[in-house]
Amino acid sequence: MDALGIHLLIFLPLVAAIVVWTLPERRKDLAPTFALVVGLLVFGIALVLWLNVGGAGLLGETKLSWIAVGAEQAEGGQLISGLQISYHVGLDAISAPLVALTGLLVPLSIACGFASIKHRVREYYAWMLALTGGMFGVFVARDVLLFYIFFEFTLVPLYFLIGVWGGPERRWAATKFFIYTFVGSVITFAGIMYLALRAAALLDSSLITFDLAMLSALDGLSAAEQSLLFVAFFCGFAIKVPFFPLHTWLPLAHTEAPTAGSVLLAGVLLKLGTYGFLRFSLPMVPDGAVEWATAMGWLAIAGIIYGALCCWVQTDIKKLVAYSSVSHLGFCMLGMFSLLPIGLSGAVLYMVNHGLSTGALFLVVGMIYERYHTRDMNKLGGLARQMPIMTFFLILFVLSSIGLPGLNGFVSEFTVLLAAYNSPTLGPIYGVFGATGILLGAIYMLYMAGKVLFGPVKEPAGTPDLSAGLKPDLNAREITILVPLAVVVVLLGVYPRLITDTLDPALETQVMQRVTAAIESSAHKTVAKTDGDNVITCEGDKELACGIDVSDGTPYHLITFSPYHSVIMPTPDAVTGGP
Amino acid sequence: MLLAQASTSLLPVDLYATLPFWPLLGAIFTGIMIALRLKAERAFWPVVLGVGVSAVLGVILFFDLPGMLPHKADAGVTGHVAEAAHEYHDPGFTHTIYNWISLGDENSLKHDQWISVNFYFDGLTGIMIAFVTVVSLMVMIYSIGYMRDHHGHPERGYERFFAFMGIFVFSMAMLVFAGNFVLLYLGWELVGLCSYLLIGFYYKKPSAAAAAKKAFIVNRIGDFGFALGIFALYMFIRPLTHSGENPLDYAVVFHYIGELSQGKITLVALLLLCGALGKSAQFPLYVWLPDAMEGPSPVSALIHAATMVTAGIYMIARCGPIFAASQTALNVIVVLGVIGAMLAATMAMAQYDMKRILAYSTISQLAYMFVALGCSTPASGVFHVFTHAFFKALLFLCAGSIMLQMGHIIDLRRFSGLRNILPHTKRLMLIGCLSLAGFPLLAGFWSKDEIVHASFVYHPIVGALMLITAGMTAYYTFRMYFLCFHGPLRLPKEAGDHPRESPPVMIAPLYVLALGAIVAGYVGVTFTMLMGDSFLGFLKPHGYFHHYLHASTVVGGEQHGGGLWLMYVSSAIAIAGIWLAWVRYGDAPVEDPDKAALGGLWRLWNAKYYLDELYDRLFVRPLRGLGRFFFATDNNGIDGLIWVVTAVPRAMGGGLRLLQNGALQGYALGMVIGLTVIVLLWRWLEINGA
Repeated sequence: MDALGIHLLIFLPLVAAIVVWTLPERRKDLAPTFALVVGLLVFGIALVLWLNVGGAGLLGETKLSWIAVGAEQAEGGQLISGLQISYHVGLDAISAPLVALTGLLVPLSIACGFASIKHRVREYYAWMLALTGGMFGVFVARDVLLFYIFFEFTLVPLYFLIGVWGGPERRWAATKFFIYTFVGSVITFAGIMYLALRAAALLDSSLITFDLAMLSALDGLSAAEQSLLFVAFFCGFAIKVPFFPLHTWLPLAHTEAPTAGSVLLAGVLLKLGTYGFLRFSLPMVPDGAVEWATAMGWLAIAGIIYGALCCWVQTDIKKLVAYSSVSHLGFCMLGMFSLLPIGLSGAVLYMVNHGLSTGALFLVVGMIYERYHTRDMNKLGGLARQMPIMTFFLILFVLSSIGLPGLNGFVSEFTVLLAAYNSPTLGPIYGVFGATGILLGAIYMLYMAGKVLFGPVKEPAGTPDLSAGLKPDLNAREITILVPLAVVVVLLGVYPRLITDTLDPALETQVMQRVTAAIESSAHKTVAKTDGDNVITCEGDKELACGIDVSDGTPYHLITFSPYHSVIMPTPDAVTGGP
Repeated sequence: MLLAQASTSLLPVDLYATLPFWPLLGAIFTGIMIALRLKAERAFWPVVLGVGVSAVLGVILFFDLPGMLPHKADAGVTGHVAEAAHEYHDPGFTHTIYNWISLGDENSLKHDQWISVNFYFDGLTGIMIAFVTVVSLMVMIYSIGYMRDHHGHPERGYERFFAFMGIFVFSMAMLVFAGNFVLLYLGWELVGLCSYLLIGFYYKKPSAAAAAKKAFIVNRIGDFGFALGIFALYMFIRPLTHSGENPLDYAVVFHYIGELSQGKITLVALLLLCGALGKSAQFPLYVWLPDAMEGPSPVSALIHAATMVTAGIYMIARCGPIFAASQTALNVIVVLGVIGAMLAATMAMAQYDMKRILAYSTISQLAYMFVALGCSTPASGVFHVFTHAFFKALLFLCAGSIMLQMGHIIDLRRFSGLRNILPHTKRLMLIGCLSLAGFPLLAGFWSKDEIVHASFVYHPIVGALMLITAGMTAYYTFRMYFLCFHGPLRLPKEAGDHPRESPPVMIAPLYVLALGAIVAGYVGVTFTMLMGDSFLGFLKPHGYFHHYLHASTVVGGEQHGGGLWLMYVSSAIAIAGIWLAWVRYGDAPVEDPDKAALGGLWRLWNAKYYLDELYDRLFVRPLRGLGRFFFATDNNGIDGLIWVVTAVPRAMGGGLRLLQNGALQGYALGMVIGLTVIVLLWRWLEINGA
């Protein structure tokens, strides 16, 4: 059943896209409803899959050979040499929250276009559904090349969504978006190819495969190779994140995209980059990740501050929200490259939370735009009086975005900063700089809220434009779109363990073990050892402390490398016991 | 020990733990009423009932708590081995509701560590929750009548007001109950949010919207330091903890804090102090509080005088074991406190807006509490928090009553001689003013005197400055009182033809608060018959209140009693201040005599020492300039750089031109290249393998 669900996540939207595209002219009014029904179906499937996923193991794993080159068949039809790309899918607790997030955002973003999409309707919904299939594909792929194919595939629908249904500068925005992300991922592709080749060589196999689990457990790459491979992965993923200073495509793409495009771009597609780092860079080239961690930390901080200050001087609401993504994903990356369990789990939570709050902000901004046909904050004002319901939602999502405790944003922001502060690779200074983001975030978001919502009423002439069947304040359809997001925003703030209870063990086994090993090897592997007389000796000027864990009586020793990096290890039996 | 607690408590702890949630429930009900568009007239009921339940629970908890706490003596009786003198005894107990945020494993050795939603109960909790809920209830009842226009119809946003107030009481109760630093931060931020929403209640007024934003952001500056303090605590404490001990719980932190070096403790203390400076509006972060008076008067009374702004004092008192261990941090607190008290008092002498005068006096009184904390007598600081809540809420609500009848005019230059029009308000205001001025035997006198005394023990100069500030307090308080109620009757035209006294629903809670302003001080006073050793022959400072606080994390040096001469001196100074105000302002002159006499100094005070302008020049403008620079870089620099980088391939093969002509062709090209690479690689491998 689970396997069927995963196939449906990918292929149901893709098939539905073709159906919508080919709807006859007289039935074209069905397109939005049909797309919404498909969207709700995949949401249901995604939700069930997420609820089924456990802390360990892969849900609904399926592996089929897809492209096989070099047919040296042995008995049993197994390929033993050549190159094999398989359709290998499955869901674990790391992908599951992101699949659920995608499932939630898809029907909402489909429904938000009902009033504003007026031309080439069938095509629009076809591209939306195609994008949906691609996004799910990325998160469930267990074959690196399959991942890459889906990763690239998502560019096409979004290119058309921006280029056809976007704002006045849509063509340039779409092209810029495409060039940036495409160029970056070509380098990543080269990296993947190199890694697969080396893996085959290291495992002494003449069959080149792209199995995620195999590549994530690979040993034997040299430090220089890992470092270069990390850079290769960086090129594709960092542009997607978007990571400072490669973010300049984002504000334009966001501003010009239709609302649904912005929601999915911010909510899901940017996560492909962070997900890539988490799934590929960290476990596949852990030594490279450790080596580059401090550089990543500084870039993340630069992004946090740079993005936030850029937000503060915007006059276009949508551009402000777009720049806030640059700042927020800086937090996410900071947490990830703290290389601590809480940092990684905070980073995944951050992906989900950013998707929720920023997606919701784009939805609300879109609703304002549909009425006032402007996003210029200088032309709007005092909307709290005109649109009290919208105001409630906007304030809620703004608060979620600036990390108000009790809402979702806080949990991830707090854990991420805590991790940066305590990280073995980063350190307190990173936490301090990162924390300026909580201050700057409040400044630019409240600046926006104050301009748009408060003060005397300011509306451009001839607005609000209600010709599209809208009401002055949000109508039932729009409220229905925002309510689920509001509920989840509160729920994840009060009880984040909905995600972390299964996420943490999965991160531990799939990412942290590799990373921890790399950290320890970078700290010159053996700092403490026992000699024949059961005495622990310590190399260099590391501090060593021994103790007993009172809860279960386990003896342990603590090796302190620096004020903010210490490792606790079980004391070897040779030290404590023995006759 | 746990069993012993359960048997001695009147109500189960689980029931007490529901206390914060009743006002939240009320607020949710009111929210539903808003969503269903029900009549605003009854919108206050759910919230007032919710706060009422909380107040009842709070008062019962106050009396019940001493029996619930573990006593050191009991520990001995029940057979606990006497521990070493330096060992920390947890004076309260932690009640966990659920585990909130996982802190992850560290090599599978420190498992089961969480940031929990847990509540901490000790003497400080009992005192804080009792007065917070009771004062909140009084302010709520007052608001039923206040938030109306002059026809008695509910104002626009009446329901919204009560919903926000409900959320505020919830947040404040969470802040007080919190059993760990993260939950404290949660309450801390949520009260800040309510403050933001309620200052901006009249959001149509640009000044209100700006004040709300300013309050939130200035508070966030403090919270930035506060958060760093929490991170630092985690960093220092976690390595010392064992499995199952949450490294940010109060009980755990205070248990291990003694093992840290002096420098680390001082660092943590100073970072936490930043948060307190923001929330309690202390120098140099006090600039938001005067502007916060843009909110409705009940908000000023409850949030910006009685409860929320005392959160900083509460936090420092709560973290007694941290601050007591760092004399450096305590010295910083005293210095900032003295500066804040003096600055605020001088500014209060040169204002005309009644609510702003009261706001400056709040800053000044909070600074007194800071001095108490810094002088190692935190119990006296908490005592002042307690008495201050009554008389300052009373004063603000009286100012609100005047404001309502004067048609929302609060400028002392616009009216005078209101004594006959507002007889109840005048009487109540007089009680509040006397208490604030430190008139002998009223609530403010007792608590302020303890602080002055402690500051004399700390350093005579600090004590002298505190006494001078006390004199200024009496002076500006009565300057305001005389300008308002004395002199010839003058009314602003906004007041209409027949201004009359406010309705009973507003006046009745004021009498309750006035009672508090008179007698609250006696909670901290012992009655004695020893003639020579007591004030006026039968009163002696340090009573039940201090005994109650003994079982709490409020730890400090020795409490200073006696020193009767100081009580007589401070009484004399208070009376002298009132007398001076009477001489200069007794007949409510239209021309301000101080303004003429002091000249430039008066203008400096009136302009609040130009601190707002200074911050604008120093921080706001440079940062925005940097933002503009970054944005320009984004549009020109980085894009331009990438354009230059891509110029090489463009010049070489024009490959990117395909992308510009149509991305799909480019994409197809990429796929073709990719496939070619795959095939070539395969060929290479085959050749090498063969």
